[in-house]
Parts: sequence; structure tokens; C-alpha cells
Amino acid sequence: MTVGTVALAVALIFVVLTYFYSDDQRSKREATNELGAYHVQYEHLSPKQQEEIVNNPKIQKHYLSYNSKNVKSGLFEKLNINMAIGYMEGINAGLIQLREGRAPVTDDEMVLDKWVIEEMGFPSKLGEVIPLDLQIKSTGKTEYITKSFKLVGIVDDIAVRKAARAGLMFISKTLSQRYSPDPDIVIFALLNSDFNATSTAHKIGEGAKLQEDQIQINERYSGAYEQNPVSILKAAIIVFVILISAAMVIYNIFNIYLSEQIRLFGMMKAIGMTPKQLRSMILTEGLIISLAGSSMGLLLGGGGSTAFIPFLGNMASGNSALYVELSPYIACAVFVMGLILVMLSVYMPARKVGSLTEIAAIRYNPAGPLGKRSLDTKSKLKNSISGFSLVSAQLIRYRKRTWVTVISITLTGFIFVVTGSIFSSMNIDNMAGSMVPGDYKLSAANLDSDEQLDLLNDKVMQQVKTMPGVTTVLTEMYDVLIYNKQDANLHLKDLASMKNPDIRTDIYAYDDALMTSTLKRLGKDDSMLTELRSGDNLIAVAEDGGYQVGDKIRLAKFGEGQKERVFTIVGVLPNYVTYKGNSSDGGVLIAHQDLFKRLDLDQRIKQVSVQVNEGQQGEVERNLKGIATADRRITFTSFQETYQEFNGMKKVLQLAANSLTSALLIISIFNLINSNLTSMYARKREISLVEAIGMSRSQLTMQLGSEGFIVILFSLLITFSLGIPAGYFGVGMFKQSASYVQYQLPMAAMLTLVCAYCTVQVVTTFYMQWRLSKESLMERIRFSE
Amino acid sequence: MILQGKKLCKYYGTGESQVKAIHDVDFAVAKGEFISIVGQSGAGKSTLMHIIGGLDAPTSGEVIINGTSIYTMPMSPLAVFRRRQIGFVFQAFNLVPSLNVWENIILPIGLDGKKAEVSYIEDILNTLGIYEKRTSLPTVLSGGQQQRVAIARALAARPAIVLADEPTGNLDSRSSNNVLDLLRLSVEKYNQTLIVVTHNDEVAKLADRTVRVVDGSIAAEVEQ
Ligand SMILES: Nc1ncnc2c1ncn2[C@@H]1O[C@H](COP(=O)(O)OP(=O)(O)OP(=O)(O)O)[C@@H](O)[C@H]1O
Ligand SMILES: [Mg+2]
Repeated sequence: MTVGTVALAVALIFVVLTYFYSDDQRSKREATNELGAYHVQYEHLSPKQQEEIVNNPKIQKHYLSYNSKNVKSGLFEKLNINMAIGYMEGINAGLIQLREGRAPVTDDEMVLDKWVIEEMGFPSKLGEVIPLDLQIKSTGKTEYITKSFKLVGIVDDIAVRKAARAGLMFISKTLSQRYSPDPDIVIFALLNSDFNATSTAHKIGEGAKLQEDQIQINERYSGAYEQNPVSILKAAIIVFVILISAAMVIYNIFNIYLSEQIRLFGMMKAIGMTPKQLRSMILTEGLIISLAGSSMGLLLGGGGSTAFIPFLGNMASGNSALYVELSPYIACAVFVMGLILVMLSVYMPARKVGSLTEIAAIRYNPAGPLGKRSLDTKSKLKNSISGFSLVSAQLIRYRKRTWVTVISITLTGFIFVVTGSIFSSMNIDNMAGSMVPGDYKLSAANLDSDEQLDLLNDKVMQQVKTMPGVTTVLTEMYDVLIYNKQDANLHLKDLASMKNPDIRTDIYAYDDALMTSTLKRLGKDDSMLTELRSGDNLIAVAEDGGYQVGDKIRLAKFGEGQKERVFTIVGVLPNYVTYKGNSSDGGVLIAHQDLFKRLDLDQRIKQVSVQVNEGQQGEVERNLKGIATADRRITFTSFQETYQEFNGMKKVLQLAANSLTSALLIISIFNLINSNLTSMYARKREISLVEAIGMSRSQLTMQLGSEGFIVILFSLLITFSLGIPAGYFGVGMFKQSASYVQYQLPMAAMLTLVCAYCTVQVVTTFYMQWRLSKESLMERIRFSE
Repeated sequence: MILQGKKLCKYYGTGESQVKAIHDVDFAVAKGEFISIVGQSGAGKSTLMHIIGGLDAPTSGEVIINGTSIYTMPMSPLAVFRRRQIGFVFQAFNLVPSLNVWENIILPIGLDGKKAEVSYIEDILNTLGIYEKRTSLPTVLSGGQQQRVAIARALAARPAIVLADEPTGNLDSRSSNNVLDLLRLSVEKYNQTLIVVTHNDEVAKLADRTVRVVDGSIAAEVEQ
């Protein structure tokens, strides 16, 4: 039993640490694959700045990139693809994840996105020769040429970039230099150390006299790799809580045996065992228990974790898959921790014996002093004693033991509830939902020049609405407002770098359906919809600036001499619902379409998204594509791939979350069973005695059951009253790195815990009954010392 | 006959190591009788007491109390029967460590869902000289004090049969006399049946009848 307990505690530490380690490894892998292994990106560099940064000794590796902004291709423009053309180092080193092939070397070689190649109508095959019409602007004049490139590398599709129609085209260094002698220089830098990487990266940039906005931290990579005092502290807190829980699990069991051990040690001392002999006896015993327990715990935890490897590996391929990674360091550390924890728990009774006389030790009774209440009874004796008095006597007079049990059960439950909160708040549906509002989208090209043109006009809209299979149609309008400078100062970053005299702000107007789903994401109800419809109220996007609900900002219509108007921010979205490309300096605001009507802003529909019946996706896709093909100025986008990508990720995350929480649940259940059974064995004689005096079976069941239930009730109360706030903070901690996290009360986890504990209590009570009835009363009274 | 034991056997273990703690014992007690059981250590006295007290089922034979064969009863009714009909004083003091003296004493009554008669139990405590200790926990009591608490508990519910396994084993002669006086008084007043195991000849002599147990069998019965 004791060995089992130690195994349990060790497995607890091991499973949780392994999970965190594996997840850490996963996010590192993901970060490296998605954006490349670099901490920071320094942009728009002058040759002198470039020189300085490249020579900085704190940089371990750097990759140079030339962005040829002056080169454009009519073909891409016609396809409404926003291409970044240029030269880039480090492609072969994995800075950009290539599907196949290599970086371009000669002037007629290039690398393209897979989806771009396909949209251009070429097979995505290496060696394919693709002619491009290029317009190269340099020093005032524009040169038009046609050049054929051989495809030597293909970039893997990233759904978000594809949905945004942002493409990549890499050419050789020499060609890039020839086309743009004065290119936009970017350096991708990997620092020597992950410790405080973000601030080091900033310091390097500042040292080279870079503006703040020239320094772009790779949040994905730094987020996954960076170590700083805060991240180390966070990890330490997690490890500490787990360690304490494991220690309590072990201590709980040893504490139940404590009185027996003390009596035994007292007896040993009385018959002449020297303290030294006693110590070595205890030590050997502890060593054997802890060695056996730790080894078993490692096997248990390791085995449990490993069982999920093939499963998880198959769930989703690629970077986001969570493989269980067993680290020998963690295993060793956990093993040693198991040893230390046991030795401490074993030493407790030994120390106690040392401080007691032999006789006091032999007669040791852990029942506490009776307290005030029983002193009062001196004057008046009760004339009745109920089964409940026996229960409360047990729990109150052995309050120390009761507390240790409660704390032990509470802590394992606590970890369960906190992880439950985090996982239930990781509403992964939000993740895809935050990027895309529907299944497909048609958007009108932003041709500012043509004021009259209404591409998604009533006729087109009618066509879309009546398409069989379309369930919901969501529309967006668009206009530009001018931000009041003072207010902009309050809410926007990087004001200094803005070149335009006016701060333009993109304002999108949603229809009822899109607004309703947006409000749902914000956790607001329909009353807010009315506010947005009828008042000068807006929703801000947190990515673009610091906003708080209730902020007031002044905006004016575009054009000369327009009067400013005060708007109230009634909600803040973590990011923009429908994916945006480049936004204006002033960021993005969201309004209701009624506001556009009232203020007489641009009433044309610029974007229409549809939600589609599962079975009719193919048909709708064809029809919508038909509209886009008929008018090239309308772009069709499918979000199916985005959904799929997120779904794969979601599955993995959910599975990993489920396996961790179920492992934790199993551990807390075992802990409860363990406490129950140990306490029964320790009290076997006492229970039997009360039975001899005439306690019936049903009374015994009541007694054991209610004792257990009171302990559970207390534990659950504490678990919830501590675990829920802790979970809330845990989620907050997590939120900084993932915007799809929204706190949610872990109802499912809590219910599971309550049900599991109650079931376990009922089952163990009956099991105890059964065990007891297997021995005769006198046998139990005689032999259970 | 209030109590009858028929062909009682209690064997421990099997084969060569088998111990015949009780072998083929017939035993009968009339209502209101006071019987003492004597015999060498290990003779089987305690075993016999447990069997007739409904605590330990015999290997064979039956125990009939008030016309009921008690070991044919299911567990729970047997427990109820025990707390109403039998008061048992164990050889080793078996008090509930988490309950104080008073609670230990009224426990059998409480288990029955009844109320104790406070003055009656206070009388018992006074007679036994442990009234001062009524709120103490068992572990702080001396051996003799614990034993007296056990006696008080056995008498508290006024059972029909009182079984006491060496109730005066740890007591000086004065306390011992107090205990015996109390037992006899109670037995007379409530017409209880009393069976006492003892090594003390004087105690044995007080009984109506003395039963001698030798190697698990009844060797002789002496009527006084
Ligand atoms: N559970 C058991 N298993 C094996 N042998 C037992 C068991 N219980 C009692 N015995 C044996 O049965 C015999 C009778 O024991 P019992 O306790 O009845 O003796 P006793 O007459 O009460 O002795 P004492 O005067 O010392 O209390 C002894 O030899 C004892 O060793
Ligand atoms: Mg005996």
C-alpha cells in the first residue's frame, strides 16, 4: 500500500512534467517550422545599420533578405495576390519551410508558394518554367520586361497566408540586386542565448540606432524559447505546486500510520534499541519503500504517457502534433524527488519518537485534546450519542489526520480543476472562428479610384443568397475615417513612424448576423447589438492599439474640412474576425451597417461570406468561383483549408488535454481510494470493537460512508474555492500567448470530479464492508494491531 | 435456560498445527445465575466467552439464547441482539480511542437510538470511582481505570446477560471488591445473568456455580 502511494505520487509528478515538457517541445517545433528559427527581424536597414547588426557578437546566426518592393508583376495583380518578391538567405537552412526543392542560385531560378503556382495555372512541379511579366520601377522610370523563371523550390502552403492572399516569391541574390540596387534590407537574427532574448534583441537594435518599429520580434519563436525571470518563475510555481501535492499524497498515507509507527518505535526503544539502530531501521525501511515506489511510479507514469504516442502521432501529422517526449533528466529528477519525499515522511515519526519518552511513545494517541466544548459538558452530560457523534469524534479529534487527508485530496483535485479550467477555456473553435466567419468568401478588389463601381451589387448578392446550400450570408462594408491626432496618441503605438499627415483608420461595417456572431465571441448579448445599431458605438481591435471598453475617440470622415464626431468603444476584440491584409496606420474599427447609413459612409458591400450546408459545399464552391471567374475583380476565397488546419491542431490539443486531465483524474481518484483504504486498515480494530458492542452493518456503512463524504465535501469545497480562482489566473497567464483563450468555468471537469469522488466513496465503503466481513469479529479485534 | 451452548467446538488452523481451543463443550445457564469460569492460561476461557457472547462463531455446535440459535441470525440482527441483550467486558480493554469515557459508555445505547439514563450511569461511575474521569480519552487512563470503564459500558444498557473476561485482573483488592459488589447488585436488581472469567479464587467463590475449563473442555462444575 505504501509503495503504491509513492508510485502514485511519483507518477503524478512525472506525468505532469512530461506533459509540460512535451508541449514545450511541440510549441518550439511548431514555432521553428512556421516562421523559422530566429528571435528577431530588423527591417528597413541602412547599409551602416546592417553592418553593425551583423557584427554584433550577441548574434549567433543571421540571415539577410532583400525585399524588392519596386518589382511587381501584372499577373499577380490580376489574380489579386499580394506578392513579396525578393532574395532571402537561410531558405536551405529552414528559415522558410520548403515543400520541396532549394533556394534559387542563378538569375533564372525562383521559389514560389504552391497555391500561387496553382492559381497561375501551372503544375506545382520542380523544373517547371514560368514566364512572368515584370514591371520594375527605378529612379522615376518604369521598365516592363517578360522573363522566364525555372521553379527550383516550392513553399508549403500556410492556410492563413493563403486566405489573406499574401504570396512569396524568392529570386537569386544577384538578380535581386540588379533589379533593386537599393533594396529594403531585412536581417533575421538568431541570438546566442534564449535568456531574456526579447530585451537583448531590442538592445542590439537600439545599439545600431534603429527605430522601435524596425525591430520585429518573432513572437512565435521567442514565445516558445525565451527564458526570462518571469517564465522561470512560472515554471517554478508549477513544479512547486505539483511537488507539494505529491508530498501531501505521500505524507497522508504515512501520517495515517504515524501513530502505529510511533507506538512501534517506542516499543523498540523500550526493549533496548539504540537511537542509532532505530534510525538505520527506519532508513532501510524508507529506502526500500521509496526505491520500489519511485521505480514503479516512473514505469506507471512513463507507460501511461507512452501509451499515447502512436495515438497522438496519428491524429495530426506535421508540426503541431504532440509527441510524448520522455526526458531522462525529468525521469532522474522525479526519481530523486520520490526518494527525498519518502525519506522526509518516514523521518517524521522517527523525530517524534525521539522527542517522547518510551512510555509516552507506546501509549501515543493522535487524538487531539478535547477542546473547550467537552470541558463544558462537565456540568451537563449528554444523555444520547448518535452515529454522527462517532463520525465527528473521529474527524475532529483526529483533526490533524483529517486535515492531511483533506489537503492531500484537495491538492490533487486542485491540479485537476486548474488544468481543466485552462483546457476548457482553450475554446479551439474560437481559434478558427476568430480568423474566418464562414466557409467561403467573395471580396471586391479595393479600387479606391472608382467611386461608382459596385462589384458586389444587389444582383450579385441576390445570386449568392439564393444559391442552394447557402445557409447564412454575412456582409461587410468598408470605409476610411481620419483619427483625431490627440486620441490617436492615446491609443496607437508607433505614431512617430507614420508618414501620412492624416491617420487613416479602416472601418468595417457588419450586418446583423456577422455582428451577432462577433458579439457572441465577446460574450455580449443582443442588447449590445441595439447599442451598436442606434448609437455612435464601435468595436475596437486590440491588436491595433490599446483600447478599453468605455474609451471615447474622435474620428472624422475622409476628406477636407470634415467635422469630428465622438465614438464610444463598447467592445474590444483580441483580433480581427475576418482576416485582413494590410491595415491602415490607425488600425481597424468595427461598426454596424446602420451606422454607415446614418453617417452616409460607403454603402457598397465589399465582402460577402457564406456559411454552407455540409453536403452542398462542392456545389456552392463551384457557383461562387463562377462569379469570381466572370469578373476578375472579385476574388474567391475558401476557408476550408484553414478550417482543416485548425481542426487538426484542435484534435491534437484536445486529445493531449484530455489525456493529461484523465491522467490527473485517475491519480486523484487513486489518492482517494488510497486514503480510504489506509484509514480503514489503520482503524480496523476500532471499527471491529464498535461492531462487537453492537453496531449493525447498516450503521457501520453509514458511519464509514458519512466520514468519507464529509472529507470529500470539505476537499471539494476547498478544491473549488481555490481551484476556480487559480484556474482563472492560470487562464490569464495563458491568454497572453493565445488569443483564442477565453475563460470558461470548467463545469465538465468539476462535475466529473464530484461524480468520480462520490462513486469512489460509495464503492470503497462497500469494498471495506466486504473486506471486513471476510474475517470474523474476534480475529479482527485480536490481530489488527 | 436463558443460555445454552450445545456441542461447541472451536478449532484454529488445520492439520498438525491445529489448535482445539474449545472441544465439545455443553453449557447451560439459567436466568439470574452468576457463574464463574476458571482455568489455566490458554485453557480456552476467553474463546468460550466470545462464542457465547455472539462475537465469534464456533467451528461446530450452536449457542441458544432465549430460544434463538444466535449464529443462524444474519450479521445485522446479531449486532442489534448483542447491544440489547449482552454486555461484554473484554480481557484487553477495548475502548474506542476517539471517544471519551462518557461517550464510550453510552455508545451501545446510542447505537440503539435510545437515550441513556444519566443518573443511573452517574451512579455506576461513582461506584466504580471513575466519575472524575468521565471526559477523559481512554489513552490517558490507567489500566484499571480503563477496565472499569469497560465494565460501566457493559452495564449501561442493562443487558440480560453480562459477560466479563477477567474484570478484576488489573485491580487492587478494594477496587476489585467495588466492581464485584456493583456487578452483583446490578445482577440482583435487574435479574441479569452474569458470567465472569477469573483467576481469583475469592471472586470465583462468590458465584453460584464455578466452571473449570481444562484444555478446551469443561472438567468440573462446582455448585456453591
Ligand atoms: N485466533 C487464534 N488462532 C490460533 N490459536 C488461537 C487463536 N485464539 C486463541 N488461540 C489459542 O486457543 C487457546 C485458548 O485461548 P484463550 O484465549 O481462550 O485462553 P484463555 O483461557 O482465555 O487464557 P488466559 O487466561 O491467558 O486469558 C490458546 O492456546 C490460544 O493460543
Ligand atoms: Mg483469556
